[in-house]
Amino acid sequence: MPIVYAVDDEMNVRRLIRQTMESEGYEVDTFATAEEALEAIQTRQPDVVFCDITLPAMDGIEFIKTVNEKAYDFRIIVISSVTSVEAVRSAFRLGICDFITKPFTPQELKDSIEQCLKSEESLQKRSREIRKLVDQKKYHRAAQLTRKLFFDYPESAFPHFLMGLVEKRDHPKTAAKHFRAAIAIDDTLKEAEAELKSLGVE
Amino acid sequence: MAIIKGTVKKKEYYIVIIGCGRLGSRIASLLSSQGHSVVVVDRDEDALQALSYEFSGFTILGEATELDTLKNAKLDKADIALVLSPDDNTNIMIALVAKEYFSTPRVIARAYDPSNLEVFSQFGIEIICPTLLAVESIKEALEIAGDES
Repeated sequence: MPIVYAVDDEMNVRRLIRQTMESEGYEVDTFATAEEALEAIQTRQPDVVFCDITLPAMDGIEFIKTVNEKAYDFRIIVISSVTSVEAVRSAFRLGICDFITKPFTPQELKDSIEQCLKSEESLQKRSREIRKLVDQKKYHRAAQLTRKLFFDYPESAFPHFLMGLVEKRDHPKTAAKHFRAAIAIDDTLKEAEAELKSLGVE
Repeated sequence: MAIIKGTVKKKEYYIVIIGCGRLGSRIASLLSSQGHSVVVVDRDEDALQALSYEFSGFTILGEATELDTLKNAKLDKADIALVLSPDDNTNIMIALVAKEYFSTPRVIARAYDPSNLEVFSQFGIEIICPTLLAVESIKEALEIAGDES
Protein backbone atom coordinates (compact mmCIF):
# COMPACT_ATOMS: atom_id res chain seq x y z
CA MET A 1 0.00 0.00 0.00
CA PRO A 2 1.64 3.30 -1.07
CA ILE A 3 2.35 5.77 1.74
CA VAL A 4 1.22 9.37 1.35
CA TYR A 5 2.28 12.34 3.48
CA ALA A 6 0.39 15.63 3.40
CA VAL A 7 2.02 18.84 4.62
CA ASP A 8 -0.39 21.75 5.01
CA ASP A 9 -1.04 24.19 7.83
CA GLU A 10 -4.78 24.18 7.10
CA MET A 11 -6.54 21.47 9.06
CA ASN A 12 -9.40 21.29 6.54
CA VAL A 13 -6.98 20.57 3.72
CA ARG A 14 -5.13 17.92 5.71
CA ARG A 15 -8.42 16.26 6.53
CA LEU A 16 -9.62 16.40 2.92
CA ILE A 17 -6.39 14.83 1.65
CA ARG A 18 -6.57 12.14 4.34
CA GLN A 19 -10.20 11.30 3.56
CA THR A 20 -9.63 11.19 -0.19
CA MET A 21 -6.41 9.19 -0.12
CA GLU A 22 -7.57 6.71 2.54
CA SER A 23 -10.71 6.06 0.51
CA GLU A 24 -8.37 5.10 -2.37
CA GLY A 25 -6.45 2.66 -0.19
CA TYR A 26 -3.35 4.77 0.54
CA GLU A 27 -1.78 4.94 3.97
CA VAL A 28 -1.81 8.59 5.01
CA ASP A 29 0.05 10.74 7.55
CA THR A 30 -0.49 14.47 7.79
CA PHE A 31 1.69 17.30 9.15
CA ALA A 32 1.03 20.95 9.86
CA THR A 33 4.66 22.00 9.31
CA ALA A 34 7.53 21.10 7.01
CA GLU A 35 9.76 20.41 10.01
CA GLU A 36 7.38 17.77 11.36
CA ALA A 37 7.22 16.14 7.93
CA LEU A 38 11.02 16.07 7.58
CA GLU A 39 11.32 14.41 10.97
CA ALA A 40 8.82 11.74 9.93
CA ILE A 41 10.57 11.24 6.57
CA GLN A 42 13.81 10.42 8.40
CA THR A 43 12.05 7.55 10.10
CA ARG A 44 9.87 6.37 7.27
CA GLN A 45 9.91 7.44 3.62
CA PRO A 46 6.61 7.93 1.82
CA ASP A 47 5.91 7.26 -1.86
CA VAL A 48 4.29 10.64 -2.46
CA VAL A 49 4.14 13.91 -0.50
CA PHE A 50 1.43 16.53 -0.98
CA CYS A 51 2.93 19.82 0.09
CA ASP A 52 1.65 23.39 0.41
CA ILE A 53 3.96 26.27 -0.52
CA THR A 54 2.82 28.64 2.19
CA LEU A 55 3.76 27.05 5.49
CA PRO A 56 4.71 28.45 8.90
CA ALA A 57 8.52 28.65 9.47
CA MET A 58 10.06 26.56 6.67
CA ASP A 59 8.02 27.11 3.48
CA GLY A 60 7.19 24.51 0.84
CA ILE A 61 9.97 25.51 -1.55
CA GLU A 62 12.59 25.20 1.23
CA PHE A 63 11.07 21.87 2.18
CA ILE A 64 11.44 20.56 -1.39
CA LYS A 65 15.03 21.87 -1.57
CA THR A 66 15.86 20.06 1.69
CA VAL A 67 14.28 16.86 0.38
CA ASN A 68 16.31 17.14 -2.85
CA GLU A 69 19.55 17.79 -0.95
CA LYS A 70 19.05 14.62 1.04
CA ALA A 71 18.30 12.72 -2.21
CA TYR A 72 15.11 11.12 -0.90
CA ASP A 73 13.38 9.02 -3.48
CA PHE A 74 9.72 10.06 -3.53
CA ARG A 75 7.44 12.23 -5.63
CA ILE A 76 6.16 15.64 -4.53
CA ILE A 77 2.86 17.16 -5.55
CA VAL A 78 2.48 20.82 -4.64
CA ILE A 79 -0.93 22.01 -3.51
CA SER A 80 -1.21 25.74 -3.19
CA SER A 81 -3.38 28.80 -3.45
CA VAL A 82 -0.27 30.65 -4.65
CA THR A 83 -0.69 30.46 -8.41
CA SER A 84 1.82 33.00 -9.70
CA VAL A 85 3.86 31.89 -12.69
CA GLU A 86 7.04 32.40 -10.65
CA ALA A 87 5.84 30.09 -7.85
CA VAL A 88 4.77 27.38 -10.28
CA ARG A 89 8.02 27.66 -12.25
CA SER A 90 10.26 27.52 -9.20
CA ALA A 91 8.40 24.49 -7.90
CA PHE A 92 8.72 22.63 -11.20
CA ARG A 93 12.40 23.57 -11.44
CA LEU A 94 12.85 21.64 -8.20
CA GLY A 95 11.49 18.54 -9.88
CA ILE A 96 8.00 18.31 -8.48
CA CYS A 97 5.59 15.95 -10.12
CA ASP A 98 2.46 18.11 -10.27
CA PHE A 99 1.03 21.43 -9.11
CA ILE A 100 -2.59 21.56 -7.93
CA THR A 101 -4.25 24.85 -7.14
CA LYS A 102 -6.59 25.35 -4.20
CA PRO A 103 -9.50 24.86 -4.01
CA PHE A 104 -9.23 21.39 -5.49
CA THR A 105 -11.61 18.48 -5.79
CA PRO A 106 -10.95 14.94 -4.51
CA GLN A 107 -10.93 13.80 -8.12
CA GLU A 108 -8.06 16.17 -8.93
CA LEU A 109 -6.04 14.64 -6.08
CA LYS A 110 -6.77 11.11 -7.24
CA ASP A 111 -5.89 11.88 -10.88
CA SER A 112 -2.69 13.64 -9.88
CA ILE A 113 -1.31 10.91 -7.62
CA GLU A 114 -2.24 8.18 -10.08
CA GLN A 115 -0.48 10.05 -12.88
CA CYS A 116 2.59 10.72 -10.73
CA LEU A 117 3.01 7.13 -9.62
CA LYS A 118 2.44 5.86 -13.15
CA SER A 119 4.77 8.43 -14.67
CA GLU A 120 7.53 7.76 -12.15
CA GLU A 121 7.35 4.04 -12.74
CA SER A 122 7.38 4.54 -16.48
CA LEU A 123 10.22 7.11 -16.48
CA GLN A 124 12.46 4.92 -14.33
CA LYS A 125 11.70 1.81 -16.32
CA ARG A 126 12.40 3.48 -19.65
CA SER A 127 15.55 5.14 -18.31
CA ARG A 128 16.88 1.79 -17.16
CA GLU A 129 16.20 0.32 -20.59
CA ILE A 130 18.06 3.17 -22.33
CA ARG A 131 21.06 2.87 -20.00
CA LYS A 132 21.20 -0.83 -20.75
CA LEU A 133 21.29 -0.09 -24.49
CA VAL A 134 24.11 2.44 -23.94
CA ASP A 135 26.05 -0.17 -21.96
CA GLN A 136 25.55 -2.58 -24.86
CA LYS A 137 26.78 0.18 -27.23
CA LYS A 138 23.46 0.16 -29.11
CA TYR A 139 23.62 3.93 -29.45
CA HIS A 140 21.21 4.36 -32.36
CA ARG A 141 18.35 2.58 -30.60
CA ALA A 142 19.18 4.34 -27.31
CA ALA A 143 19.00 7.72 -29.08
CA GLN A 144 15.63 6.84 -30.60
CA LEU A 145 14.16 5.89 -27.23
CA THR A 146 15.66 8.96 -25.54
CA ARG A 147 14.02 11.26 -28.15
CA LYS A 148 10.68 9.69 -27.23
CA LEU A 149 11.48 10.27 -23.57
CA PHE A 150 12.04 13.99 -24.33
CA PHE A 151 8.60 14.11 -25.85
CA ASP A 152 6.88 12.37 -22.90
CA TYR A 153 8.84 14.02 -20.06
CA PRO A 154 9.90 17.46 -21.28
CA GLU A 155 10.23 18.77 -17.72
CA SER A 156 12.52 15.95 -16.57
CA ALA A 157 16.31 16.13 -16.41
CA PHE A 158 16.64 12.44 -17.30
CA PRO A 159 16.21 12.66 -21.11
CA HIS A 160 19.06 15.21 -21.24
CA PHE A 161 21.24 13.07 -19.01
CA LEU A 162 20.58 9.96 -21.08
CA MET A 163 21.18 11.82 -24.35
CA GLY A 164 24.47 12.95 -22.86
CA LEU A 165 25.40 9.30 -22.28
CA VAL A 166 24.40 8.41 -25.82
CA GLU A 167 26.44 11.26 -27.36
CA LYS A 168 29.51 11.29 -25.14
CA ARG A 169 31.58 8.84 -27.18
CA ASP A 170 31.21 10.45 -30.63
CA HIS A 171 30.10 14.01 -29.82
CA PRO A 172 31.50 15.06 -26.44
CA LYS A 173 30.59 18.74 -26.94
CA THR A 174 26.94 17.86 -27.61
CA ALA A 175 27.03 15.47 -24.68
CA ALA A 176 28.35 18.27 -22.45
CA LYS A 177 25.45 20.49 -23.51
CA HIS A 178 22.96 17.79 -22.52
CA PHE A 179 24.63 17.20 -19.15
CA ARG A 180 24.56 20.96 -18.48
CA ALA A 181 20.88 21.06 -19.43
CA ALA A 182 20.17 18.16 -17.08
CA ILE A 183 21.96 19.97 -14.23
CA ALA A 184 20.06 23.19 -15.01
CA ILE A 185 16.77 21.33 -14.65
CA ASP A 186 17.84 19.30 -11.63
CA ASP A 187 20.95 20.53 -9.85
CA THR A 188 20.87 17.50 -7.54
CA LEU A 189 21.62 15.11 -10.40
CA LYS A 190 25.14 14.25 -9.26
CA GLU A 191 25.66 11.68 -12.02
CA ALA A 192 25.29 14.39 -14.66
CA GLU A 193 27.88 16.52 -12.87
CA ALA A 194 30.29 13.59 -12.70
CA GLU A 195 29.82 12.79 -16.39
CA LEU A 196 30.34 16.42 -17.35
CA LYS A 197 33.53 16.54 -15.32
CA SER A 198 34.80 13.31 -16.89
CA LEU A 199 34.32 14.78 -20.38
CA GLY A 200 36.74 17.58 -19.60
CA VAL A 201 34.98 19.85 -22.11
CA GLU A 202 35.12 23.59 -21.47
CA MET B 1 -33.77 12.95 -7.33
CA ALA B 2 -30.49 14.00 -8.91
CA ILE B 3 -28.96 16.99 -7.19
CA ILE B 4 -28.54 18.66 -10.56
CA LYS B 5 -31.76 18.42 -12.51
CA GLY B 6 -31.45 16.89 -15.93
CA THR B 7 -27.88 15.67 -15.43
CA VAL B 8 -26.40 12.34 -14.44
CA LYS B 9 -26.10 12.05 -10.69
CA LYS B 10 -22.50 12.33 -9.56
CA LYS B 11 -21.00 10.98 -6.39
CA GLU B 12 -19.24 14.21 -5.51
CA TYR B 13 -20.27 17.70 -6.54
CA TYR B 14 -18.17 20.82 -6.58
CA ILE B 15 -20.26 23.36 -4.72
CA VAL B 16 -19.48 27.03 -4.17
CA ILE B 17 -21.34 28.72 -1.34
CA ILE B 18 -21.45 32.51 -1.32
CA GLY B 19 -22.07 33.82 2.18
CA CYS B 20 -20.97 32.16 5.39
CA GLY B 21 -23.75 33.26 7.71
CA ARG B 22 -25.91 30.94 9.79
CA LEU B 23 -27.42 29.24 6.73
CA GLY B 24 -24.27 29.18 4.58
CA SER B 25 -22.07 27.72 7.31
CA ARG B 26 -24.56 24.99 8.22
CA ILE B 27 -25.11 23.98 4.62
CA ALA B 28 -21.33 24.00 4.04
CA SER B 29 -20.70 21.60 6.92
CA LEU B 30 -23.57 19.35 5.88
CA LEU B 31 -22.49 19.11 2.24
CA SER B 32 -18.79 18.62 3.01
CA SER B 33 -19.66 15.88 5.51
CA GLN B 34 -21.57 14.19 2.68
CA GLY B 35 -18.35 14.06 0.67
CA HIS B 36 -18.91 16.99 -1.70
CA SER B 37 -16.16 19.47 -2.53
CA VAL B 38 -17.29 22.67 -0.89
CA VAL B 39 -15.83 26.15 -1.20
CA VAL B 40 -17.22 28.92 1.01
CA VAL B 41 -16.74 32.55 0.07
CA ASP B 42 -17.22 35.42 2.50
CA ARG B 43 -15.69 38.84 3.09
CA ASP B 44 -15.76 38.36 6.86
CA GLU B 45 -12.78 36.38 8.17
CA ASP B 46 -14.51 35.76 11.52
CA ALA B 47 -17.45 34.14 9.74
CA LEU B 48 -15.10 31.77 7.91
CA GLN B 49 -13.20 31.00 11.12
CA ALA B 50 -16.48 30.11 12.79
CA LEU B 51 -17.15 27.21 10.42
CA SER B 52 -17.65 24.03 12.36
CA TYR B 53 -14.93 21.44 12.96
CA GLU B 54 -16.79 19.04 10.64
CA PHE B 55 -16.29 21.33 7.66
CA SER B 56 -13.61 19.85 5.40
CA GLY B 57 -13.77 22.18 2.42
CA PHE B 58 -12.05 25.39 1.38
CA THR B 59 -12.61 28.98 2.39
CA ILE B 60 -12.00 32.04 0.25
CA LEU B 61 -11.81 35.41 1.95
CA GLY B 62 -13.04 38.12 -0.40
CA GLU B 63 -15.86 40.14 -1.91
CA ALA B 64 -18.06 37.80 -3.90
CA THR B 65 -19.18 40.75 -6.01
CA GLU B 66 -15.67 40.85 -7.46
CA LEU B 67 -14.98 38.61 -10.39
CA ASP B 68 -11.49 37.68 -9.17
CA THR B 69 -12.90 36.29 -5.93
CA LEU B 70 -15.31 34.07 -7.85
CA LYS B 71 -12.48 32.99 -10.16
CA ASN B 72 -10.38 32.08 -7.11
CA ALA B 73 -13.28 29.94 -5.94
CA LYS B 74 -13.18 28.25 -9.36
CA LEU B 75 -16.84 28.94 -9.99
CA ASP B 76 -16.25 27.91 -13.61
CA LYS B 77 -15.75 24.34 -12.38
CA ALA B 78 -18.69 24.33 -9.98
CA ASP B 79 -21.66 22.05 -10.42
CA ILE B 80 -23.72 24.15 -8.04
CA ALA B 81 -23.59 27.71 -6.70
CA LEU B 82 -25.52 28.54 -3.55
CA VAL B 83 -25.85 32.31 -3.26
CA LEU B 84 -26.74 33.03 0.34
CA SER B 85 -25.61 36.55 1.18
CA PRO B 86 -28.02 38.55 3.36
CA ASP B 87 -28.84 41.03 0.60
CA ASP B 88 -31.27 40.25 -2.24
CA ASN B 89 -29.71 42.67 -4.72
CA THR B 90 -26.23 41.27 -4.11
CA ASN B 91 -27.62 37.77 -4.54
CA ILE B 92 -29.29 38.66 -7.83
CA MET B 93 -26.05 40.11 -9.12
CA ILE B 94 -23.84 37.19 -8.04
CA ALA B 95 -26.36 34.58 -9.16
CA LEU B 96 -26.50 36.18 -12.60
CA VAL B 97 -22.72 36.22 -12.87
CA ALA B 98 -22.63 32.54 -11.85
CA LYS B 99 -25.26 31.63 -14.41
CA GLU B 100 -24.25 33.81 -17.33
CA TYR B 101 -20.48 34.36 -16.96
CA PHE B 102 -19.37 31.12 -15.32
CA SER B 103 -22.16 28.95 -16.82
CA THR B 104 -22.69 27.19 -13.49
CA PRO B 105 -25.21 24.41 -14.24
CA ARG B 106 -27.30 24.97 -11.13
CA VAL B 107 -27.62 28.25 -9.26
CA ILE B 108 -29.75 28.54 -6.14
CA ALA B 109 -30.12 31.91 -4.45
CA ARG B 110 -31.81 33.19 -1.36
CA ALA B 111 -34.31 36.03 -1.75
CA TYR B 112 -35.95 37.53 1.30
CA ASP B 113 -38.37 39.71 -0.64
CA PRO B 114 -40.97 37.63 -2.54
CA SER B 115 -41.34 40.45 -5.05
CA ASN B 116 -37.81 39.67 -6.28
CA LEU B 117 -38.69 36.10 -7.22
CA GLU B 118 -39.69 37.03 -10.75
CA VAL B 119 -36.33 38.65 -11.46
CA PHE B 120 -34.48 35.53 -10.37
CA SER B 121 -36.70 33.12 -12.25
CA GLN B 122 -36.37 35.12 -15.49
CA PHE B 123 -32.73 34.04 -15.56
CA GLY B 124 -33.29 30.41 -14.61
CA ILE B 125 -32.09 30.89 -11.08
CA GLU B 126 -33.76 28.79 -8.42
CA ILE B 127 -34.88 30.65 -5.35
CA ILE B 128 -35.19 29.88 -1.69
CA CYS B 129 -37.43 32.51 -0.11
CA PRO B 130 -37.41 32.34 3.72
CA THR B 131 -40.48 34.58 3.84
CA LEU B 132 -42.55 32.25 1.67
CA LEU B 133 -41.19 29.19 3.47
CA ALA B 134 -42.25 30.72 6.78
CA VAL B 135 -45.67 31.53 5.38
CA GLU B 136 -46.04 27.93 4.21
CA SER B 137 -44.90 26.56 7.57
CA ILE B 138 -47.24 28.81 9.52
CA LYS B 139 -50.08 27.93 7.19
CA GLU B 140 -49.36 24.23 7.65
CA ALA B 141 -49.11 24.61 11.41
CA LEU B 142 -52.46 26.41 11.52
CA GLU B 143 -54.09 23.75 9.37
CA ILE B 144 -52.79 21.05 11.71
CA ALA B 145 -54.08 23.04 14.68
CA GLY B 146 -57.42 23.35 12.87
CA ASP B 147 -57.62 19.59 12.29
CA GLU B 148 -56.88 18.85 15.90
CA SER B 149 -59.61 21.16 17.24
